[in-house]
Amino acid sequence: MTHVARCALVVVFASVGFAAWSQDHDAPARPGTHDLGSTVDRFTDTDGATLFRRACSGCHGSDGEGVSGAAAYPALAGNARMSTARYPVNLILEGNGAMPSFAEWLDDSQVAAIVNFLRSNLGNSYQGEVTAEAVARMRKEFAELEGG
Amino acid sequence: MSDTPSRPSRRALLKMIGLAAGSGSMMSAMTSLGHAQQSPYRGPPELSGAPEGASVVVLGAGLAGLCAALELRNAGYSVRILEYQARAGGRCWTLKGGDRIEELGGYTQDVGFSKGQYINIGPWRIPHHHRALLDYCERLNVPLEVFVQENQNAYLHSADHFGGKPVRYGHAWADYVGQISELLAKATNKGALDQTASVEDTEILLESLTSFGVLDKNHRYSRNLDTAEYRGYPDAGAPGGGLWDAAPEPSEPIALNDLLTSRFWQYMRNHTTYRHHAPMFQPVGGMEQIAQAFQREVGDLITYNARVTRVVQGEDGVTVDFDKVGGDGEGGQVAADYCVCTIPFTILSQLDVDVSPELRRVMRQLHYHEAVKAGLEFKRRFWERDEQIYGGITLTDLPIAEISYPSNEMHSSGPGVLLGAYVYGPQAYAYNSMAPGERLESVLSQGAQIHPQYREEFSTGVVLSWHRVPWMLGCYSNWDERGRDYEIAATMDKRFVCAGEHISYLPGWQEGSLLSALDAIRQVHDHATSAP
Repeated sequence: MTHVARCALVVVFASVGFAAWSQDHDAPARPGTHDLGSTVDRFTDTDGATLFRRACSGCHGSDGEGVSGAAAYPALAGNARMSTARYPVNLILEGNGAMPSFAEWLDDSQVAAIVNFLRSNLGNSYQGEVTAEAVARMRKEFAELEGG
Repeated sequence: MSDTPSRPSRRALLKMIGLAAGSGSMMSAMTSLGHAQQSPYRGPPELSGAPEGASVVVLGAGLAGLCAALELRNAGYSVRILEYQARAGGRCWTLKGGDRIEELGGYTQDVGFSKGQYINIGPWRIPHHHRALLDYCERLNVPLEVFVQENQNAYLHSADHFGGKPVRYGHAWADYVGQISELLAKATNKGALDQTASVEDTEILLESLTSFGVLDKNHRYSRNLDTAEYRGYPDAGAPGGGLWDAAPEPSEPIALNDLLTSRFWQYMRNHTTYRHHAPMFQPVGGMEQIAQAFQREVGDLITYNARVTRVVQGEDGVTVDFDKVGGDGEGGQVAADYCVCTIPFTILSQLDVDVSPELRRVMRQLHYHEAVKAGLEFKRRFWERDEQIYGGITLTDLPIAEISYPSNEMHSSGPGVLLGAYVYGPQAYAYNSMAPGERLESVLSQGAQIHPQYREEFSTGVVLSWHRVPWMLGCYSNWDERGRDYEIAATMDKRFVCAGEHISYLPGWQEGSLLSALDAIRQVHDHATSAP
């Protein structure tokens, strides 16, 4: 099982919204759909809720409730660690344990959009939005810490 | 064309030495003739002198754990294995009809494949130079068959080029090689290489480009019967017999510009990477045959449905606590002199494990690849019957990335199972967020763009996202750079040593799991036999 060399070609498919779906019922099939909000090397959505659904909800649960097996994907819903934006920004960019780094696949605005969504939804209601510029600064800072 | 050697071939020489002096001297002769083995594997370990009553607890019954247990028991250790699942094998996993996949988040998929049909949803091919794995297959009586990796008659496909129609790999390959050879010949003829190559070298280069690129006497790659010998013939113009349509006709090459803009060139070294060199192998009946062969040897040592919660190290040994997964039973505790731990770091980093802060840090920092794989059963092997594709891989720039045709049961009139998608990166997370039925629909809609027979012939399928596998939380290890962290991960911490594909330079390959396991038990044995 290994990675074949993958195309770096960026193909942005026309955005087609998915029908709502739940854990219990498969969505009605949409013939010809292959909009995944992503290419081989980046996510293409810009809206926080949509990015959460594409990138995060598969592991953390569709409502961010968290899941567990031999170990867990922690809940993002009602998570006190969201009180500072720095914590989720760090996790998204640097990863930790089962959480991989998404740094190469999300730009600063996308990271900010996800973090702002997480901090004001899923039962979290923390004040203050993080900006793309702040994410850019943290990205640089974390990378330097990593290198040192 | 002559293959007749003018002097004894190296192989003939080796055979003579072997006959005269036994295979031991043949091995040393091979090494001295520069024919060294391509693997660090030097045969099964020789662990003699294990202390009386010494014990090892192995965490995880994947290939690394099973191999470690087998060899440690052979060496005289008392061994016990704790396994989270109700089955042995870990990622060495073959899905068959009647199997049920349970993913995190509540999705279940019932595998509906026909009798005898399967998909290797984890590792699916074995390079011929993975000598440890091949040796264990031989020792444990696992029959192998050839896995077809490269198939010139499979396709390259781009949604946005050639009208979205697939192109035969062999056409693109021959035409690309021919036309870049033509360009280089042109440059050479114009004196572009005069500064860097002698006249003699330039002449040899032109001769080689003409031969390698199948160029005509004017150094052109063009439509003629010579190029047809490599790229193939028009559908109705292949060489035949008798009178009717017998004489071959040349075929029209694809224009270089179309090949360049389609970016098909990016796929053209895939099958020539060392890890994919032909021939590759697969076990007859599915990859899991290997796990089952190990299980026949050491199955009696395994406690199933055991979720490890805590590892404590003392002066003289290791204690492991475990819960019972799913209901009945109480779990328990195992005490042993040593622990070989094959639990992936995605999970181990979350457990209460008594190891150095450095090793804990490395566990947290090693991340795992995502991957989504689909197995699709079709009622009829249309790729063989309609398109003459027997095994091999079609590559596409659609999210499914590839379609691999089965290497087993070729020419059967029954059904067949394709690998219908092998997705990495952000698109794998997008699939990870979708319900199985939605994933399947997406995979089918893409495959149908390459094979219009998909909709008519499809019978049943599964699409697995490895991040939702409860005992993995990912697919396989993704080291940025190994360096000192790798040494920390691979070195025994007091009496606790890690093993698995993640402790190897062969991430995601079963060979890495085995070589890692052999190194881990070497460390255990060295410690056990050197202790005062």
